[in-house]
Amino acid sequence: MRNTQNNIPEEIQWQIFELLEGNLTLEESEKTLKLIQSHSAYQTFYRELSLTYLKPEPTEFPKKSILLKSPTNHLKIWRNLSLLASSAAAIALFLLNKTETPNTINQSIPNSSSKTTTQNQTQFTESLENRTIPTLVKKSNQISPKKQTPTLPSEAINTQIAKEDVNQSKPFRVIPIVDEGTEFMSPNGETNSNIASNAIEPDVQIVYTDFNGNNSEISEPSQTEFLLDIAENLRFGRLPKMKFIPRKRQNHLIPQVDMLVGTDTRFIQTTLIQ
Amino acid sequence: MDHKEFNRIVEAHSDALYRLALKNIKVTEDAQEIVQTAFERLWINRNTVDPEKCRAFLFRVAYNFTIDMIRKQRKEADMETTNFKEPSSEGADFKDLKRVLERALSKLSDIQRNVILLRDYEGYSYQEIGDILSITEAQVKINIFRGRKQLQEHLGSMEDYL
Repeated sequence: MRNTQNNIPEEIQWQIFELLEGNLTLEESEKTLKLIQSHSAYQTFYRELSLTYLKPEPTEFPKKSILLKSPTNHLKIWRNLSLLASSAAAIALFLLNKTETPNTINQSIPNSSSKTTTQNQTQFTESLENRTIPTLVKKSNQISPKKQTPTLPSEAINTQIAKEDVNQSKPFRVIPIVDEGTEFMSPNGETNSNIASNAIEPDVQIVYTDFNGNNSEISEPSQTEFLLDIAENLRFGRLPKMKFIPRKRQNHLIPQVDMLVGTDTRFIQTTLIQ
Repeated sequence: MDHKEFNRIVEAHSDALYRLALKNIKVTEDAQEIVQTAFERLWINRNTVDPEKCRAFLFRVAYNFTIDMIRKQRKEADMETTNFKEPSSEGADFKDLKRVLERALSKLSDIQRNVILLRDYEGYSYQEIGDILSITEAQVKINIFRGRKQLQEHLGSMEDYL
């Protein structure tokens, strides 16, 4: 193994290094070059040292698109998601209206005691859960402290729906978890849109089985709202299986997925909570 | 810093960050994670980071995260392969200068490798490199010198290729 450095004084090595780094004046450079030419070991050292200067290789970061930020956290309408989610909502409405509307419940239980009514409501709630709602709604048991909305697990939501059915003869169901346009804030004061726009990985992953029985996944970063079009999808007549999976990331808040169904407002809204 | 400014910075520096990370880590997934982490930190601190210094901020975060990752990998490697014998650098496998340099570069210390990468790939001054790596300008210079001497020594041992 050849080692040219052993034959060259360190100050000469530094001088050659400074030359290659471009740290010398023109006069110093000329002087150093003459010095190098005077000794073959210097020439070898100079040549080998000059080969250690790396040339940048063209490299492209493949995930650049997911780093880019959008000016708004509102979503564009996804046609596929719209199709599925609105169908789910429509069929949920259909099932509720068809089988056990509030009035029907009251009429079907004449002279019933309060205990019996409660029992029937519970059964009705269980029936709902078994049919549609649990596949539609994933609800965390936490919510932003600022909102002061009671924390409800999915079962409680469905119970609430059933109670609303009894008390009000609405042709549709409203899950009043999130008011439209409400801006949630995390405990550290970060708003929903800030949290969403900070996200790099998808906030929510949606897994569903489509009408052909195929499993699919949809995920997108920084999504907070999924707009639906119920009317377009009524024709499907049955419910796709949908599961909303909030993703937890390090140093990020966990999104919470709620569903709000009504005649005028039809959308699934994700609410970011801690 | 608004989203437009941030996106401009992504376009301008993400490739360079990725290249630096790849040179240190070699595993593409890990290198991508480093880049994403750096930009995530920049976005979180967008109100405090001077846009003029965001490049240095990104490289500093990426470097620190890279070092953490390398240490973790070494620790895991030490636990898994105690009898691993590296192939000889003088073998017939090294048939071109680039590969020889790559191998020599990987043998440098983390600090020496990164000062050279930042100097050669990004064209940073000694002072800028010092800001990124939290060392003095003189330390930058001496690390570049020592790193290059090690590379030169390695190349010298590959006499056939020079």
